[in-house]
Amino acid sequence: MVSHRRTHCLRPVFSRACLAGITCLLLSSVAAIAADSTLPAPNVPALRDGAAPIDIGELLDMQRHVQAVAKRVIPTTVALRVGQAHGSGVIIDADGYVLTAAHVAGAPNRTAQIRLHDGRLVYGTTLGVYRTKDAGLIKIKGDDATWQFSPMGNSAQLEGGHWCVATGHPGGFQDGRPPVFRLGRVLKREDDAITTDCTLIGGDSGGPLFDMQGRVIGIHSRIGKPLVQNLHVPVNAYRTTWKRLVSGDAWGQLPGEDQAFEPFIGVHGIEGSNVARVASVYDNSPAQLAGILPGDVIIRVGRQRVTTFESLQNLIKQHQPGEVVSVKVLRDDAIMDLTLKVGKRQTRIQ
Amino acid sequence: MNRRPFLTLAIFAFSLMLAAPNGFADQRDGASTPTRLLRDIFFNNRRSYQRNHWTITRAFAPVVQTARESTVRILSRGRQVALGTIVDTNGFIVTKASQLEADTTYEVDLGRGRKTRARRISEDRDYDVALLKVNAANLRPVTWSTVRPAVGAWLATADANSDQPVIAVGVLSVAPRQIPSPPTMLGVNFNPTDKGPVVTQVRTATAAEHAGLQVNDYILAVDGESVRTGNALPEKIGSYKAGERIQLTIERNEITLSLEVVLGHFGNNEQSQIMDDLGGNLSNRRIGFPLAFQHDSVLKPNQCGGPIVDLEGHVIGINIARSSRVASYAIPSEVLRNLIPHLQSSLTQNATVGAAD
Repeated sequence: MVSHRRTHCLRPVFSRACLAGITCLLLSSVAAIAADSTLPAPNVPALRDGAAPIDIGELLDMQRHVQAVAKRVIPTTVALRVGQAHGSGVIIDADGYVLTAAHVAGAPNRTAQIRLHDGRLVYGTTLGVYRTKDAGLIKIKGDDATWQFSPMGNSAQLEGGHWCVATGHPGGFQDGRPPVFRLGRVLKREDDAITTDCTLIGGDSGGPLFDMQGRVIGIHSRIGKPLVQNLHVPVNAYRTTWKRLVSGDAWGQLPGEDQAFEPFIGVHGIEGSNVARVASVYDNSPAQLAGILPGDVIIRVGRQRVTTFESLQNLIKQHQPGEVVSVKVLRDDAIMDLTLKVGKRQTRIQ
Repeated sequence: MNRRPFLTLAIFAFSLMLAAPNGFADQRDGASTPTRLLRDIFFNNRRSYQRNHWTITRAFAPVVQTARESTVRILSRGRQVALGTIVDTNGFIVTKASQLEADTTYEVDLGRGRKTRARRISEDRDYDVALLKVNAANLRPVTWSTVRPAVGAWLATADANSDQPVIAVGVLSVAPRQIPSPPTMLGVNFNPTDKGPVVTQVRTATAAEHAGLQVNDYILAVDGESVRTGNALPEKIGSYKAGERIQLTIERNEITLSLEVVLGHFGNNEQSQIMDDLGGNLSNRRIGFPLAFQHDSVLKPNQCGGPIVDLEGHVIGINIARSSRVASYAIPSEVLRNLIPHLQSSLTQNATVGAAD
């Protein structure tokens, strides 16, 4: 662990040193001492500043660096199977500690099947799970081997626009397919989650998000319907609770138990109006499947009367995702009875 | 922050606009209305961070310049169903076969107002590539490149004759490999009868359910071919690829009906359906290709069939499927170079030729 901290502490030095081309030599030598698994800071303005590349020359420079990152991080990405859960993970030190999502690890002391990037199968044991953040830890069994790894970075330093890469096993491990590589940008950083446009899907859960030096900055956790809503556990959730995770503690509740998975029907209305009139309906939403149309006024959900759009929101919150409720709507002066299956706002990926 | 008063004002000024019915328009659809533009500027700066934002794709304009001249739009009833790639000077064009329906005429938009009828020559069902022929001269064919970019390489997809030359950019996610083809599935249990198989169960989240097949329906024919006897139904279904469209002739309450079915595959279930629903618009025919590379460009199903290039502008393949939220597939140029002469030598309409190994 000490080496990660040192690597991380050196980072400000890296970015300042980048000002002069001459320091490139210095950079690589410093990096070599700090940890052989961290790439030198990118010497490309777009990657360094989290900005848009301006011409082909810069795109080419960017590509060269991104390909080096790919080469470095893909071999440290693993596929996991813990009980019924399939997911991904990343080896973060030579001893074989593997970061994953809490909803993949499940609980401490379970056996994990670990597929290395080349398909080799090894076994691990789940350690701590910090469910509130969806952070889980696994240790590869045995102490004699030295594992290729990607060190942890610092998620607190991320800003919107920073370039990042995601790897993982979308759809689960597939024989002959190495970990799948994606490039995107940080769209938002919050304490609970980093949002990027590195697209994720089931099977990616627990897989790593990297910065441009190949350091782990996040762990894939969940997605929203728009392709730009891919949420990652900030890596600092692991760093700040490291001892507890290593000791095999399990605490907190999965984000699934609160707002990310809140009941959802997919209508948009006008707040402050004196009726719950539907302004628009999301495509493929529970409301659309139930036959609710823009312009409908929702007057009852189950046995409860709906007065305003806010009252509709409150009523929906009282139902569980998956529950089927009857809905009365007023359409062109006619009252219609519809059947609505309540959905959830986000879907956890596995 | 001294920007705050300004922001507060902006929020106040546009809150009404946001409450308007179309004010929340999905971030994914590209139309830029004034409302949207203002909202993006004031409320949603994150949009400019997105990899597909014009501030990034514009840098790729010179990259797709040459490939663009070989990219066309395939139209059916005036609407774009796919992109196409010009493969020789005499009017041969390849595109994504399953985007074309049988017995329909197609037009090819060659740009600068030139539209012309296209004849369907042949197709390869394994790769889902169709060869079209138009009567037009002096077309600019693609130059296939056998450059093999490394994982992480930038890739760009050109649009035909629009103001925005680049549809999408992405990176190479996985080098060319076989994309497995699980067994095709309709999703019914049935009992054989003299009339034909009678449906005893329609499984959830399957092709049969989506198509509206019901218990007690008799399945008489698939694409006009009788499936009355023995195992004819599963055998016939197995001869198609997942994602292909078929016509089922059924009898329901003594009335004969025709149902259109987009076939699924084993492994389709409620979980896979949730994941597909989170993928945006996906191609129907999206798995099962003998060789394809995977990239993370976000395409629409009707944007497949055109060339995809690396940063040097080399055409390294054609996009063949939007497969999931994370994956688009493209057929490598080395495959197409062998495949196209086979398709050209097969002059009967709709003939199918085997894959070129």
